[in-house]
Amino acid sequence: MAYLDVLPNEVLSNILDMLTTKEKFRAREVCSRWKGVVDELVPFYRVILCNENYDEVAMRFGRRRVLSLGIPSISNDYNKDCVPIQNLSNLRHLSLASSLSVDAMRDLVTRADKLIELQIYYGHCTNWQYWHDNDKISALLPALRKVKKLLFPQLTLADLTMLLNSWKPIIQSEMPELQHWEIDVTLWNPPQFNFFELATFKPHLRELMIQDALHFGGLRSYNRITAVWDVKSRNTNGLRKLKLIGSASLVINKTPQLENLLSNQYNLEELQLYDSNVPSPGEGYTMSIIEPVLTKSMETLHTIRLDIGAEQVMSADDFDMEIFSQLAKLRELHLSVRVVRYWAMYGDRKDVLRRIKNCNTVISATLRKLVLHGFTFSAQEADDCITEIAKLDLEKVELLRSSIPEISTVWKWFSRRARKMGLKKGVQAKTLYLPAEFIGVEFYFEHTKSSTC
Amino acid sequence: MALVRVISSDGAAFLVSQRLAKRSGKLKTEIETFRKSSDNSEAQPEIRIVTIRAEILRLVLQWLQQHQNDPVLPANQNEQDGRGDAEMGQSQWDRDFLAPMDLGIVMELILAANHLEVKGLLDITCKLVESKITGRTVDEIRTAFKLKSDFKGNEEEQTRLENRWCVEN
Repeated sequence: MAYLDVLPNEVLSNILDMLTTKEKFRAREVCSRWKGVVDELVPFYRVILCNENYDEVAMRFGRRRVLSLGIPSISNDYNKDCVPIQNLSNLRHLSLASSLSVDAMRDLVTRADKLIELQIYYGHCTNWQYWHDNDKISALLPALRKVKKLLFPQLTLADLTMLLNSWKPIIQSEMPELQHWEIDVTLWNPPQFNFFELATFKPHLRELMIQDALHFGGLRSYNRITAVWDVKSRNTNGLRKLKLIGSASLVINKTPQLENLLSNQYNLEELQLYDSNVPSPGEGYTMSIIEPVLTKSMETLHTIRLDIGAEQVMSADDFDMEIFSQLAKLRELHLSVRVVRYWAMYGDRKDVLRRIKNCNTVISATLRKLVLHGFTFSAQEADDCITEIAKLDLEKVELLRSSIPEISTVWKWFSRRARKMGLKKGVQAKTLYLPAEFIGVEFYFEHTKSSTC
Repeated sequence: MALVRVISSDGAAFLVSQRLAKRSGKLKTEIETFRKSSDNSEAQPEIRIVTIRAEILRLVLQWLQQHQNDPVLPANQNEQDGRGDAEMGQSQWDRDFLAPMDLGIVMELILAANHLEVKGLLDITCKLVESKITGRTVDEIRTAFKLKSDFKGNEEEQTRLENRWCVEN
């Protein structure tokens, strides 16, 4: 028996891993077992092909083994030799943003028999009329059966409609291995599409992100929607992650749909509803919308980021944090009052401050990050809060644009209290840009106790 | 001094201190299991190693004896961690220890070190094998390790073509 045949693969792998890259490649030629072991060890190459440096790419990468292949732009007259990578047997990720025909795609996907992730920049491709030809699609399907992750980034609204029509049946019946389907839609014009319908699409949607009014080049803004389906999920309770970011036009104007969406969610793990741009006083989310979601996901929610609407701030009642203390797995809580930036519009009204209560009940053993923006504390509430913070190893605590009206030099007071409780990081004060008669000072408190221990 | 009897596959018994034996992850687990299951705390554990013959077991215990004061390396320690580096851990004594061994014995020693979870010994024996691969042609490697090419069809030629960019430069 050959000496090394007695060694298990993990030990042979240890030995061959000590070789230089050049020696490793030489070892691949010894026998099929060594080749297999080395193939698991050697670095793979991520390659992006484009027309401009085509020959150079072919020369540099043509004989290498490729793990990830991106084809942003390639000739319409694609033929088998057009892609210079001869050995696609190790290709795991293929990214297409070119006008490849279905024949070309089939050739690529068939040769890459270990392909697990396929990313298609739908809107960049010009030959998508192929996707309306059933015979051509049928020819491609066997090659797609092994794909586990399918991504369509940067779709337009028109693409989205076409994609849902053409790919839904394929995904549902022809891709048994598919576990993850992700689409990303960029919208340049006010959308007419009801995005909440995405949440009811089967197979089950796992994540839904709607992002509104992102600024592009300082001139235009666009909306963006990302939806991720966990195709194999057996969770029939719907979403695990819901993010609606800066979604004033998308979400707030569709409050009934939003309420309908939220009221149907159970066992959410992550809930993020916040504005990314400058809000108007009417924006933000009301607790009447949010509370039912919290109630239905008390055992699963671990991350929450919410913008509380202006009407919440104007309320006479203290903002009660106790509802959050009932979330068993809460790790991150980020609450903001959006109205603060537009303080001046409230004139001389002094009752717009929203006092927080029961904040200390939220600070539990599971909590790692607590961020509160724009609330106000009573001195007792703040004291209780610091006492709870000091007991735990929180990663981060931020209390921004908040205040304790009874105490004029609030940040000094806070700093002293924090030091007295043994917190390593103290308090930073920032100049407040709001009228002094309202708050007088703004404090910024950061505590990173666990990272320093 | 607490002792443990370690018995090889061919029946040879080695009486070693438990402190020394516990430098092997496998023996340590066995001793602790024995302690938990035994009513008599003074009883001497007896461990049978059915996959290692006496000659090899003696070499392992000899290496452990020599390195009994070294820090114990975790089995999953990364080579970049310094102390896990085979070259770092190889002393003149190790080199003299391994020098007279033929490859057959080295292979058995690797298997024994792997089975008994003796990270330091596994590192230096693997390094020895690696040194016998480095700098050799494919044919020389096959001869040294008594390996035969089992590629089918033109697979070997194909592999050589794939490697050309790296091996020939």
